Amino acid sequence: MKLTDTPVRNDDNAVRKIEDTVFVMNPDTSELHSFNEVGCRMWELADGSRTVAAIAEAIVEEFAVDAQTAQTDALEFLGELNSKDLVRV
Amino acid sequence: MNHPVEPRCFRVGALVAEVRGLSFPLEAGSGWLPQFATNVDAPADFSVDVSCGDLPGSALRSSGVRAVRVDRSQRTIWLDMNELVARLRLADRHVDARLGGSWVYSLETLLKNAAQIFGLELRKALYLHASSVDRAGLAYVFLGRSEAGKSTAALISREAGLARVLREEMTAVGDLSRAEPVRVFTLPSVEEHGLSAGPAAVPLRGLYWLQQDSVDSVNRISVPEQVRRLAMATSICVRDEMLMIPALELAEQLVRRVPVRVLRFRKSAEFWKAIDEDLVSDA
Repeated sequence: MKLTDTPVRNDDNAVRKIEDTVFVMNPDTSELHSFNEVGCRMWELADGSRTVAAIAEAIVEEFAVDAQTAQTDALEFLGELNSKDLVRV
Repeated sequence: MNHPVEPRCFRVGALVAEVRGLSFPLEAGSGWLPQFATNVDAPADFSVDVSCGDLPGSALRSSGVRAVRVDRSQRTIWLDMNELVARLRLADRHVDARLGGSWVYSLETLLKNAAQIFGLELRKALYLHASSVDRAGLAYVFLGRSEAGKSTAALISREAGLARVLREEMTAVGDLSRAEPVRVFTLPSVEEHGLSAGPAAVPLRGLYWLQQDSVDSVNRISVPEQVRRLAMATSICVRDEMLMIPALELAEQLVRRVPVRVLRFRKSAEFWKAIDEDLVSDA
């Protein structure tokens, strides 16, 4: 995953939000994933219209974290989602 | 060959199935299904048309899913199992099935898988990989990862004379579509240690996620974490979005009515003291 990549959620997954947690089920692997508040927001922002860098910028504004942390977390989190086919680039 | 015979109704967990086309006597021979027969006038949640003996079958063949096909646009599921093939039409609440031989076990397998699917479709019931016990007329369900001690907790409770075992491996919980108290239902089958409580519907008192530990304690967790653990324990024979979304919905509904607690226990019946203390503090 690179900062210039544009991730988009995989709509084949079953998704449900409960309080501040998003649950995503991958039908192919039967795996259930859950994201915390920050992960939830990154998931929402991965709609195919923003680069990873832009998602990280939004996290900086909304969660008052520094840019380096946000970029590192976004790359790691979205990269992991990509490896599990929960997002695609 | 399909013989026209009178329909039979069976309670399968929280649901009732109306079955037509049985050409063999259920009462003769083994199998627990006849115990779960219910009044033919009972409102059925789903209907089943079976033809028997159209598949090559063997009484030695074990149950197992060979293939699954899902058509979301038609809301139809095809199950190809060792002992049966079935087409489930969710919108019609109907199943067409061919069973391998005059074999009660095939029918039990068909009904349990169908009840799982329709339980979710109707937003009525969850089928959990869990043990359950009846203690003084109230049901307690034990969830957890493999080898967490689900069967152990049930069996040591029975051996201590504190509870009777309802189910060891698969527990049905419902009716989540109604406001009445949630109940644990038994299913027609014999389990690992030869235990089966027969037909029962017991009010649910507690859901416990088990963790073996050196102390006995009951701990509270957040609603999302409760849902996550319940979803992990939910049995869905067909892993498709059509069923997985209702599974999450029902899991959330259930935990808001009966919360999931984490039970750390030492593999002795002493854990009931921790449960009782927690329930008293919750009152």
